[in-house]
Formats: sequence, C-alpha cells, structure tokens
Amino acid sequence: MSVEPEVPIVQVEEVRENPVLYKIISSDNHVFTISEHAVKLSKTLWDLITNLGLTAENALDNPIPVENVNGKNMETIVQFCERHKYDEEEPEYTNYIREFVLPEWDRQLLSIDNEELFQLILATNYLDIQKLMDYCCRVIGDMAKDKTPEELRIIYGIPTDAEDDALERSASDSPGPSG
Amino acid sequence: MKYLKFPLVVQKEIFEHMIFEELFLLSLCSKRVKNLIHLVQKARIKRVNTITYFFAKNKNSTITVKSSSSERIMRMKKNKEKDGATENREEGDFSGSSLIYDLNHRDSTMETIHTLLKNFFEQVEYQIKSRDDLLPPNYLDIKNCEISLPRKISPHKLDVFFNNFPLREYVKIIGSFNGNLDPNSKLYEAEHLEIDGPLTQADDILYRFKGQNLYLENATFYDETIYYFLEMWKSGQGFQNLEKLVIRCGYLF
Repeated sequence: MSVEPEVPIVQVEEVRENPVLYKIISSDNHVFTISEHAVKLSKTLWDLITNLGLTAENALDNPIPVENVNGKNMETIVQFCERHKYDEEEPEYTNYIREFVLPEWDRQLLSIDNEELFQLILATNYLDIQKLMDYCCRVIGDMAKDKTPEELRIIYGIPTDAEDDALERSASDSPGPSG
Repeated sequence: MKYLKFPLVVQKEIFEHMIFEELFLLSLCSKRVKNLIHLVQKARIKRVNTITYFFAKNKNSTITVKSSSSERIMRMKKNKEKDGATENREEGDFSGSSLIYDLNHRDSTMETIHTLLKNFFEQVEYQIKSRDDLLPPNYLDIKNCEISLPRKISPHKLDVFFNNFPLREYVKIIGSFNGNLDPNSKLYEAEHLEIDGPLTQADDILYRFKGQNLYLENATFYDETIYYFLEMWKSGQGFQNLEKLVIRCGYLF
C-alpha cells in the first residue's frame, strides 16, 4: 500500500527555491517526500543519502526505505523537519539542564498519547534528529512538573521495588535456554 | 509509558529536561530509578556541593531545600489547620511536588528527608537558614547555620541546641537572648560566629569566644570590657585564636 501524504505549503516553497526532494518509504510502505534542507535535520537519513550518492537528478527515483519507522511517525517527523529546516543551529548548552519553552506549534504536533510519543521518540532516536529529540524530551520532562512521587510512578510506568525484586526472582528461577 | 524501556541515551536526554526537584522525587519511586539517575546524571549531581535548608517564616512554615546553584530540590509545607483541626492527611503525603508535614512531627520528617538527600547527593555539605519561630532541627553534618532566634528564647535553650552537635564552621544568629550562655557553650567554639542581636549584652560572648572570627552587631558592652579585651588581645595575653573581630556597636554603657 502506498499513500502519498498531502504536500505541505513549505514543501511547495522549497520546490521553488531548492528543487531537490527525496523519497522515503516507511516500514508500512507509506511514501513521503522531503526536501533537502529538511532531511538534513536527520543525521541518519543524511548520512544514508550521502553514502548512497543520491543527487538532485536521481533522488526521486531512489526511495529510501526506513524499516524502523512507521508511516504515522514518519509523517510527524517530516512535518517537523519541514517546519524547522531553516532554523538557526542551537547553541551548545553548557549547563546540565536544558531549559526552554516548547513553541506552541510543536506542542500541538506532539500532543499525542503516551504510547505514540514513546514510539515517536524511538523513531527520532533512530533517525538521530536532535531538535525533535529535545522537543519530545521536553514534553516528557514537563509531565513531571508538580507531581507527587506516586503520580510520577504512574506516568512513567515505574515498577515499585517489590515488583522489581519479584521480577528479578522470577528471572533467576526460570531455567535458562539450556535448562 | 514505560520509561525504563527507553534506550539509555534517551533516558539521559529526558533527565536533562528535569530540574533537581523532579529528579529527586523520581528517585523516590524505586531503587532502580535512583540508581539510573545516579548513573546518567553523575556529573550534574557531583556539581552540587552545598545543600541549604530554608525555614521560612510564613503561614505555611515552608521548608525549601536548594542546591548550591539555587535550584530547588524539595519543598515542604505545614499541614494546614481547618477549624482548629489539621487536615486529614497522612504523614509524608504530597500535594503536587510539595511534601506536607505535621508541625508536631516536623523534625522526624525532616530527618527522613535529610537521610534521603544524603543518599541521593552523597558528597555534599549541608547548611541551615532559618527565619521560622521554631528553632530548626539539627544534624551532625550541618557545617553552617544562620538562625533567627525565636522571640524570648532562653540562653539555656540555645545552649541545648548547639551543645548536642559538633563544632560548626559558621554560625550566624539574628535576634536577642536574655542572659548569658553556659560558659562552656559549644557556640563559643564555632570557627566563625556572627551575632546580630539588638541589645544583647555581649561582654560574656567577647570574653569566652574561642574561634577565629567574631562579628558582633548591635550588641551592647560595658566600656571596661572593650578596654580590657583590647589590652589582653594586643599584648598577646589572651584571645590568641582570634584572627578577626568586628564590632558594630549601637550602644556603649
């Protein structure tokens, strides 16, 4: 199955000023086009493009399969990269804590349920998109604001010490592959 | 969400978006999470070299724990009273990220928190700054303290407060106490002692202080005390430990 997503306005502008587009195929065979500036936000994809020697001439004829990311997450990722493709590079943070307020557009993009966010973060990690990773982590970090330890445990699905101990015991009691 | 199922690199990134208060409360969820935070936030935790307990004088008797970079680590509020009775909360309940404590059990609750903080931060110096009407609790490892005295506190109570614990490096007392401390009071053995006590008769303090730096503000002295003290100090016949003395005197009698 192949579903062509709607081409966002930003992509049309991109076509006018920079005609290089790449095709990406998600794990569930959805096909996406993404501009050169946008795809550069993903270190994994850009390394792949460079290594495959894709150029303006042959890019659209050589779709890039991304086995680890499904169509839903890829759609979010393409939207994000197109939105932020002209952003200035973030200065390196020197402190041990990253403090910034998530822009409203991004907050809405990332207003998805926890399981979807979990999968999106795994995809973002795989594609190595630092800015999106920062934003997703901000969303997860914000969930901890003004919460009790018990609420934190529920939000982040953290087992109690007793549950961890029980898990460890059952793991050590169960026979290994040869047993 | 199964936080612990994230790759370690992602867990690390998420922790970098949390303030210490959130990390500390998260560490209370389980040993595994505490160990994880220690593993991936080691450098950040190591940068904290001082933790300060602030005891505020407000209607909630708020106690705030802050790191050396003034980042909040924990906040505690007094259990509110409604119609003369305290709200139906159990000891150790949280309201949002604030721990609610019962005024009658304040010190034992604080002791639990102090132990948890010591477990979390390991190599840290602790200090107390109190403006509350109650004397703060006291721990062996408090090096510095700055305390506003409760009104009409007796010197004996102050002696008990300081005598139970080893020497302090820095002590600042704001407020007056009526009468003299015990001649062997541990307070005199602090390395650095500051007393800002309007109308405190400070002759005894000046004679008995054994540390290196003494600051006395707004205290009162008899003229003879100052003459005698200066003569002994200058001639090397007494007060040989004393390196610096500052007296800002409101009154001389």
